[in-house]
Amino acid sequence: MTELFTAEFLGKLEGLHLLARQLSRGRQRAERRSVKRGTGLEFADYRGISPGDDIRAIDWKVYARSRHLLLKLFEEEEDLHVHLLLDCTASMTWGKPPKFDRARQIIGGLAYLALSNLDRVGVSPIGPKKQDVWAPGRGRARFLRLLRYLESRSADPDPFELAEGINRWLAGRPRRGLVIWVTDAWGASLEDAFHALDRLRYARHEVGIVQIRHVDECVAGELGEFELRDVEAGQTRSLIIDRALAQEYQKKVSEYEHQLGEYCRRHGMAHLIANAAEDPLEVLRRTLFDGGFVR
Amino acid sequence: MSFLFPLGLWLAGLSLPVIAFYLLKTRQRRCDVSSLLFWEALKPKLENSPFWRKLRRWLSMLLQLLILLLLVAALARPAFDWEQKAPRRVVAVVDPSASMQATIPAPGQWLTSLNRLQSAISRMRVQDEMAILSAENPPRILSGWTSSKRVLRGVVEGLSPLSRGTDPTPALQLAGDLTSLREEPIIEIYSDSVWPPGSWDQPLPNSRFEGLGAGELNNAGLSLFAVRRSPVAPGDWQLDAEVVSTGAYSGTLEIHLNGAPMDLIPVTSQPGQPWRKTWRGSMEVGATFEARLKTEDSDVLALDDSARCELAPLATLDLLVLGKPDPYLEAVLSAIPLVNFWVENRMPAELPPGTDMILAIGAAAPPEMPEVPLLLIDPDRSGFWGEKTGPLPSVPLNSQGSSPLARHADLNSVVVERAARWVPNPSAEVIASGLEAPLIFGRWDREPKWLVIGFDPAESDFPLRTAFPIFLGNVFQALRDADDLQSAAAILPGPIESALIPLARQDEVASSLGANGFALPGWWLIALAGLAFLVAESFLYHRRITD
Repeated sequence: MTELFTAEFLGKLEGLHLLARQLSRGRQRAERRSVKRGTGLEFADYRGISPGDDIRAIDWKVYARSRHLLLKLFEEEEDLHVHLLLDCTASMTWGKPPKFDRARQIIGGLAYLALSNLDRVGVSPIGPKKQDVWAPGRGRARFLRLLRYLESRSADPDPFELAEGINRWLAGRPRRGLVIWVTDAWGASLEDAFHALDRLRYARHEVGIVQIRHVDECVAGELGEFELRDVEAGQTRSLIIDRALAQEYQKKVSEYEHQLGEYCRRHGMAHLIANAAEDPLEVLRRTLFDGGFVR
Repeated sequence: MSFLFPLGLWLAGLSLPVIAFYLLKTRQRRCDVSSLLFWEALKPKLENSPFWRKLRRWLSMLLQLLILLLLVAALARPAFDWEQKAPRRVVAVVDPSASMQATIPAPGQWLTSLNRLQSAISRMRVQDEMAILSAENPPRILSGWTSSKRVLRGVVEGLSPLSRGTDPTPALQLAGDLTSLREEPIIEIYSDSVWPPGSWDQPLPNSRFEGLGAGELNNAGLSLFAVRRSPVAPGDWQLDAEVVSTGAYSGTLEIHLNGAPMDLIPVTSQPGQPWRKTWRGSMEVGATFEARLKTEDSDVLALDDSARCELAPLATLDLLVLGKPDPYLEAVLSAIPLVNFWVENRMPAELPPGTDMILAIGAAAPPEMPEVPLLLIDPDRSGFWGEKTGPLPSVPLNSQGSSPLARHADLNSVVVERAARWVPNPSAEVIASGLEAPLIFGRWDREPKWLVIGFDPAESDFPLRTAFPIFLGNVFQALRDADDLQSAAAILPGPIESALIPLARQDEVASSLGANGFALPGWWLIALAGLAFLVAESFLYHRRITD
């Protein structure tokens, strides 16, 4: 195993997968009963027969014993496409640990969960430089190769618009499915991330966003005179950060995150804010329970 | 303007590290951020940042440099031209008397005076001179005219107060004499002016008091605590105590004898009306008396609240009796306390060690004066004591003068049946005579001591009278060590010091009661203020810039 994806990490992923499986089943029974009439091989449940049901699904053996017509339900073989988008802009390299590392770990974890769920999983880097895309595919056997793929990704230090990156990805006409974008959502402008999400929404994808950032980024930090350098755009700005300015900064960041959360809620998108210093497995666990990523 | 310590100007070089540290402190710290997105969103606020906020960083540095220059200037001790034109010559008279240890107000008269004197020394310029006298008896010149601050400071550091009062008159006269050697001198008297009456009747010209001045001082103290032995009754002692106070006083006095309580008596006194008390007793051995005066009121002088005096033990006299054995005389000698004697027929070649006195009878009189006092009774010949000129018929004795040897001994009624006529040595004092003929004479009050009883007591009624043993007792008692008989007094400040009545008027005192004893030159005060500001500025810089 590697430094990014340790054996311990992968071991815990397995446990998380079992949890996700239980969770996924429970929700299916409660929310998607009619959809269960699938053509899959795995028996799921019985229910009473209704007009229009396929009589091939009647369990005749039960009828012979009890004279009740019961319909056998099977797991539907859903061929869901899960697109995992990795933010590869330079801002993701900031902090300790770098947000980019955490993002790759989260992407790896999400990919494992999806592959375990027999979904088709693809990974696409969204960044200023064109990088290889991990084409959607099915099967856990792909997982180790996927990890190697993730480890070889890098963040590029060039100015970049998130919306443009999403446009570029959509230009490849990916099949509709679930898009989970792991990003800090700090674009070239305050509207950049919203425009990018709009593009995904217009393409009729089901969208979830894991916003990953450091707590230190949300506050101005130490007061005094600084020359701040944008690691992504390379620009510098000299500032005297006083108390009032620090408060304004913090307020601005809070407003932005609130707007982003509000946008996602309004458009039915899953939105999860993760601290880059947080254990990635905990972030994954929260995607299952709190983020609305599992349906 | 010139500088008295120009080497201090080199410290101006400290401005370089000050600037360097300032630039280091105020340099912009580079900091990588993930995005300037939100800072750019605050752009209007950033651009509204007032220009003077950036400017005041430089003002801050200029202020620090200014303060540093002030400090350097203070160290270099600038002297202006107008200051150099008039050299000051000061005679400082320091009063070390006990009253200077009064502790009101803190830190007390003594420390205040020393601080003021140190201050005056610090203010001295190159051309100034100072002499320091100690107002003792006799006065001491601690330092002659000098401009050396090091010497003067050394003198001040060596000063210590006394436990008794002093008369400043000789010191003031000496100060006047010293000032006559210089032009426009000043006499600064570092004293509370608690002096004997008349010491300040004629104030010295160009003089002023440097001290705390007079105030409402409350004190009660022992002005006398002394013990002495009786010159006539061996072993008897008398203890005297006196208490004076600055106001109406009521307290108690504890007397301890050899550490054990002896007496506890209430004491009340008024200003000018001292309280006195006498104790008497008898004791041949030595003893220590202690007195502790207690009061509930605050007392500014602790020196006079307790006293201690020693009563010396009586010494035993070893007496060599030369001559034929005389049972009556031996009985009389045996009856006198603290006298050991032994009888020899004639003068030994060498006196036994420890012999205090020789008593020679008749023909046993030694031809020369021995090393120890000699008492001759009816010597049969002339000698160094006088010349025997012939017989004397029966005569009554008459006391002559007021010799302590005849105290309480009534010699006037003694009748001498047969005696010799004597012409005493001219240095002798006649104690008793009969018909103008000296019969008891000698010199017992100074060395060499000898005394002659110029008749045979057996030929008179002298032995029948009480005067005989009393007279002999006086002779022996007078021989005892003078210290045994003198008063042993405790060292106390004395009635004047304890009463704390100043002679100087308040307007003669340069600084009134409650004035601060700590004084620094103005430059130093500015410099210290600057230093404090420098430290505060350094701490507050960051906050001032960023708030």
